[in-house]
Amino acid sequence: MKEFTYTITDPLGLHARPAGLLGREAKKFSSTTTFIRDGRSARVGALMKLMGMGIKQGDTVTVQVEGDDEEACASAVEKFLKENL
Amino acid sequence: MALDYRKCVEEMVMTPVILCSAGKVGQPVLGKVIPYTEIGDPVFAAGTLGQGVGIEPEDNVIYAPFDGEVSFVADSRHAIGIAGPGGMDLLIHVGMDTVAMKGDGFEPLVREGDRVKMGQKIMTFDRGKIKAAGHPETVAVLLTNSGDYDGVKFGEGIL
Repeated sequence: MKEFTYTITDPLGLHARPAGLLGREAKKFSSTTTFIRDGRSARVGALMKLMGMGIKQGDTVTVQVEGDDEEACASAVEKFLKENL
Repeated sequence: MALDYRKCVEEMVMTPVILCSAGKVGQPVLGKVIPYTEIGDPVFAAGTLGQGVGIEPEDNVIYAPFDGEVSFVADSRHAIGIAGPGGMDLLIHVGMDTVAMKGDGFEPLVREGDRVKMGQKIMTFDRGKIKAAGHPETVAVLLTNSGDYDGVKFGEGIL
């Protein structure tokens, strides 16, 4: 499993559009990507659950990636976060 | 007049705009229904948030399109998620780019965890404020997990 943390810089937080795009990015890989914050977690593909976490600017999320291509998936997700959120 | 409106709304929520193996999603707001592919925002039109429809609203009230449980209310108040029959995860997103309005102009009438009945008012919104902020008013009604179902149909007149 790969794990890293990321602090959201987008003033609007993790809203619908980037959440959808993030889900699409993660879907390119077979690994499962999970966001964890404050004892709540959601798979990146589970849009409503992910948005329901209410992730805002300044929040730090723990990202866990698990699966056969976790290395590549984790770097793609991290890149997406840095560029979009 | 008031009676006519109520009748219109009752017929509207009974008219499906999305159909799939898990069930059907009624129309949540009065207006012109277009397939999601015609929503004027490339991220929505590409199906990034799921398949469904856009509605060009002619009213300012959103009604629950099925019996379900509110799974999500955006802090910015312009979007509501409802978990419905057969695990359907529906997103109702009012206006495009309206997250930037930071809640001004949107009054959700439900909270996360609330049970809702088909036809129940779940949000009112201020069309004037959306227009004044320069955003399209299109209400996106999307089955965010449409990939989980076979034979998803969407649009007007799918019955």
